[in-house]
Amino acid sequence: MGPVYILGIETSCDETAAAVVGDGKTVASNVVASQINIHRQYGGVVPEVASRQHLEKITDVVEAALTGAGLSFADLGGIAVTAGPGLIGALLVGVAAAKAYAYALQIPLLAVHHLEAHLCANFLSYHELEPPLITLIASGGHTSLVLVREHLVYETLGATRDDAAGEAFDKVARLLGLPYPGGPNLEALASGGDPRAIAFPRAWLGEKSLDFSFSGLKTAVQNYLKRNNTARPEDVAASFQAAVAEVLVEKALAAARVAGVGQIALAGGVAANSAIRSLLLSRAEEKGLTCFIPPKGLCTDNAAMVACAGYYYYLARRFAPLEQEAFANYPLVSPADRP
Amino acid sequence: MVSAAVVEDRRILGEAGLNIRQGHMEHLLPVVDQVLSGLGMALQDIDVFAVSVGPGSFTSLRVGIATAKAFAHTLRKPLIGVPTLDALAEGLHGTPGLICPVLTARAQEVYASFYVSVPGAPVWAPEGMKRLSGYLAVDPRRIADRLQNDLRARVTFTGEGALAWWDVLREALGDRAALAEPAQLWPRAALVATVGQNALEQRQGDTRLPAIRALYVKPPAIRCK
Repeated sequence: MGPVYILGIETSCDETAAAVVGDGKTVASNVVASQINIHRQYGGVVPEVASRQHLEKITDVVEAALTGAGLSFADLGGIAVTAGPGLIGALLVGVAAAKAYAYALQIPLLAVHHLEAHLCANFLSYHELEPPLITLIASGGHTSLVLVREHLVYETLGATRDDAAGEAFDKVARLLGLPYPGGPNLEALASGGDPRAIAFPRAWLGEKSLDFSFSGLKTAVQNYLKRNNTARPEDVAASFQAAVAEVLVEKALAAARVAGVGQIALAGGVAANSAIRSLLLSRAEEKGLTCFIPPKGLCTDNAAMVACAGYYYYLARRFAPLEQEAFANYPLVSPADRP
Repeated sequence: MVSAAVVEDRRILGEAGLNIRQGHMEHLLPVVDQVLSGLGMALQDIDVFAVSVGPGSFTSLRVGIATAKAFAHTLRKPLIGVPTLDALAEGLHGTPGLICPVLTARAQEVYASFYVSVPGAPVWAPEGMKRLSGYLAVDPRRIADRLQNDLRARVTFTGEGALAWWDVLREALGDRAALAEPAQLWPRAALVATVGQNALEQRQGDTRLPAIRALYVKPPAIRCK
């Protein structure tokens, strides 16, 4: 018997994505139609525009994923889709399409959580990696520390209390007058700056807390810029980035210690940030922890990670019903604990 | 409204529907499945798909259109986008005078369009219904204003929006206004299929999947940051 091919679909924000993954490991195709050029003119993602784009592109993107994999619909064993969290109008295009594909093909529908998909980028990238592990998931909408006890069994150890890390990047980028998307532009600016130039605050939130807070840091940057109009933007960017990186990485190390786990994995769009990647690598090595960082293309939103997550649902025979809905707010809980 | 139907050469083989304002995602596939399994059919037996493209609730339209696109894509069959107001008007074939389907948009706004049923045309034929206006998003009180200039016309209103605003329409137009019978007030999938078949026979419209879009009528609301 050949591999089980899962078609993954992801439309939770501003990327229309589809991918085919064999046995949860082999990326046969990974297609991402980015809307970045459309949203750039508005200075950020406009939900209604994103939803309209998804509806227009969805079948072309799925077709490209099949063609890229050299497969046809009949070769698929299941359809995986991000059911939430995300922009509701965007999500429901992917969920409605995925349900219809699964129904038309009479194959299982696998409804996955966006964060679960992000952390699965590590299983896609490192075939030898097996739970337990700590994952630091940081993106424009999320910042969480999740203990993966085994496949599909999660415990959230900490999460942001206000802004997500990526959101902080976008807001500070705007303060620095950088165009959308803020994160990558801020990182580029920071590469020419001194990360020790300005001592921006780190929000530790108490000794034992594994939660995050980034809104105070954003305000600190704002106040600093008001008081110091001659500040080098490169230094501001680099110092801000260092503050975010330090808190993310130290809390991830603390989570590994608390959970007694020797593996740390990075996931989410912010994991594409080089400063965060290199700090985690060096600090994890000092602590004797094994560190996993997926390639950048699998850190940002994509559907290969969705297909990979879907494969574990497939193995566990956790199939979604015809009534499956999309959820804007959707806490990450183990599928077995969902109502 | 969630509705699904199988139509063969303008004969309705089966239809099911729920007149609901929410829960489209939850109910659409089960309703489709109910019709197909009740007929002992599978999706593979369908030759052409038709889907209502609004105007209407953006959320509901996206669920319907994304579902229909994926059906047509999987089975490599054509998909026709049918304006919901056209489908509603089709239900009033043979009605003399003007036909005006009205759908609720937001609080003080409706979607509407004007049609005339061509005298002598066979029932549900492609040439049987003529649309006289664009797809409008208007204050329902303005519909009456538009018509008061046209003194001859008798107008039959249909659609749940007509029911909701019936008092206003009736007051403005008096005896010239009529309301369609209750069974005609909701857009039904069988009418969507019929109008779709008409469009296919007349080779109207682009059946390539990316070309099937919702009729949003209005540009996206954008709040600049």
